[in-house]
Amino acid sequence: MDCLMSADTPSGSGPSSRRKFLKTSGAVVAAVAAPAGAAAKAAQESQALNLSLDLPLLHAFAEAVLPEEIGADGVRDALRDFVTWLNGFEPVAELPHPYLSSVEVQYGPPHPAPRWASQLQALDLLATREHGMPFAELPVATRRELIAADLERHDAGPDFPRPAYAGHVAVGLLARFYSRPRTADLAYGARINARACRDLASGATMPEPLATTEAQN
Amino acid sequence: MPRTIEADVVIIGGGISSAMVAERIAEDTEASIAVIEAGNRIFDFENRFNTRRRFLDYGENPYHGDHIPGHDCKNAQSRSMSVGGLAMHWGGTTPRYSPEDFRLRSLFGVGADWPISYDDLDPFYQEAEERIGVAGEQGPPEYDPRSGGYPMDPLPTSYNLGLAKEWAEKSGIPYWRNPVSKNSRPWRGRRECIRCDTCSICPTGAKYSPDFTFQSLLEAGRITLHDRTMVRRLVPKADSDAIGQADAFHRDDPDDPVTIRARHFVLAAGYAWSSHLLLMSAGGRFPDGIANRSGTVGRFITGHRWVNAFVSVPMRLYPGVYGSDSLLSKRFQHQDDEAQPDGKYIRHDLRIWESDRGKRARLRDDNGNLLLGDAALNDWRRRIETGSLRMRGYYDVIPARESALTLEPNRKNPWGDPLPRIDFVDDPVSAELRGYTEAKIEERFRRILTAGGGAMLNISFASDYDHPGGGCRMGDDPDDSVVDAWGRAHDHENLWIAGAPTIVGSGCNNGTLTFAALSLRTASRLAGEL
Repeated sequence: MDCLMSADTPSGSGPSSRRKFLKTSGAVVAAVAAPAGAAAKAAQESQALNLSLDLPLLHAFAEAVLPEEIGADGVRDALRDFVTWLNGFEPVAELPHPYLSSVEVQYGPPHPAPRWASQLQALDLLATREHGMPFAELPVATRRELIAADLERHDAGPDFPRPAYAGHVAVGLLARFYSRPRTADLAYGARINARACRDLASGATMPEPLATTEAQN
Repeated sequence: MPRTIEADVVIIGGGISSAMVAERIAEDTEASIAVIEAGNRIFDFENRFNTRRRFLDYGENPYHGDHIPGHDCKNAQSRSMSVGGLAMHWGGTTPRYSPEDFRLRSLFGVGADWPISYDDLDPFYQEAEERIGVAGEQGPPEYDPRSGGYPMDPLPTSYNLGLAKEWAEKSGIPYWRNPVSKNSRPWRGRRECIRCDTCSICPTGAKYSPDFTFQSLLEAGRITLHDRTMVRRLVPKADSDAIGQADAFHRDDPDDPVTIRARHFVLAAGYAWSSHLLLMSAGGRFPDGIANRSGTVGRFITGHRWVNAFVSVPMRLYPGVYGSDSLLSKRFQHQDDEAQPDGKYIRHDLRIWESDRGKRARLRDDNGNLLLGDAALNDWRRRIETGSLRMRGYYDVIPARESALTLEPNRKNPWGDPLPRIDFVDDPVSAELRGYTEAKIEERFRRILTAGGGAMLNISFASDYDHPGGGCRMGDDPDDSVVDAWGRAHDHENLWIAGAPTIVGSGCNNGTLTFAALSLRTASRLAGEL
């Protein structure tokens, strides 16, 4: 199965073992995503548009913007979730009718992947020109500086929008990461498990604290 | 190809009022019943876990196609139109109106009295609560009178709301749980709530929506349901004022007329489209529209406004478990010196919900610095040491006669019919008191904050009416109302109007349960004539 997030786009010369792993994980993500219905249609349309993000580059990018405390496993998990989410995105989807408004039905944004892919590629080019090496090979602190400068150029605002509305790939990735219930649990140090269906009584007590190992993961 | 639909009772509109009328008539009589709905039939219960997931992940409409392109009412509450109506994606909040709401003129010297009292409606409130399944907690009887208990115990109070109640009641204002049409135990074939917290798209059926009623009636062979069928005109008989037929078309074949005949017509198309159809039916002996000898069709559109505040509170909360659950106080809907301390007409409810306002992760701190890496998570942790809550007060607004739905001759739907618009206009009493009312509610918010601790983060004031109704208000005087106390049109013996259009005022609480109760009352009288 082809993958929207295929790792086939050249992105410099990362360690081969790492690239191999990431290619594999990208394929796994595609298989896990195995979308049905609207999601499948969206994925097919996305492929038809030849959208692709460079997965190793995206990984290097994520390492620079996501919290260090989630560790390598946390970064991989966040990326897997982000890619799955992006795979399932349906461009210009019908939106709920706003309450207290009779405006004509509204539709969502176009697919953000082309915009984000070009931003990643631009960062990679910039890294090569400014630092003489691909983005993925720069130290994390340098990568973060490049991303921060790019965000300033994009005039990114203080609050996260819904991910698909993010003008910059960093904002999209972070918006998705920080909207996840498990990220909220990490912040609160408690097993809130928002958006999960649960038995009636369980919401009546204070959420249990996260175990230390959960917090680390 | 021209088509005819015939039934003893034809119900025009497919929302919750229609469902209540259809179910009650089907139970009480052998009459044939046809339900006519302009929107689509979205019976996709089996897909709702998936549509819920996409709603959460992508913000997509969980009810695809629940609207008619090009067919809207300007300033209406929602664009949604399908079998089940707005009660497909409602929050399921089901407070009753207060006894005072029915007697504003007698008690306060403002607005108008209803032709029925709270006590007249009480058994139908009870019936509506049984039919749709309401879980609730009895409030203080002086503010929340009921002749019977709630059908179901309240859903357990969430941890956050329990803390919020303790906090708010330090002010001396009593709060209790807002009742909801969500099952705290299995009810009428629908399962117990499992707190998915996406009540606008309930994946389990624990929240009532009218599609369940319609599907049940269809399976029992007690109704026929004609969706995508738009009624554009009610036609009186040649030899009497009774309605003889309704002219319609199917949206798939708009050039082929559909003629609808019935012994009784029930207009249950909501506050906007009911008035619209009556005005669209003007002609011949009824130049101002059907049921409009009083000139009040489309008038006295009612509703209430809100004052909304987000507050920071000195306690750690964990938002995200059951955010749709709310606390309610009717303390200031009552008639007494504390509720109306200055002798002016002011009545409002109070609500509290959990909130994450000011407590979400963010990209920049207060100084505009980017938060990348651990910085964002640390910033978030620092800010969630305290919690936030949402407070709201819905206050009663007396509608003026000029608060009206009218036809816009130059704005037409795809089939050439003029579209409606609504202009909300306050009665002079409410217009004069608006600033006072909003200031008083803010003062009461601050009283709660002072007692419990915390700070106002944000306060806002509604511009338009929420929970609207009216347009075909009920009354004893045919010169000043459209329907009688049972919902029968003064001008047409076989035309009934159900639910939202018939209300005289909107009080201070959500209207859906009242619309359902009024519809059942109308159905009870109609059933006696079949």
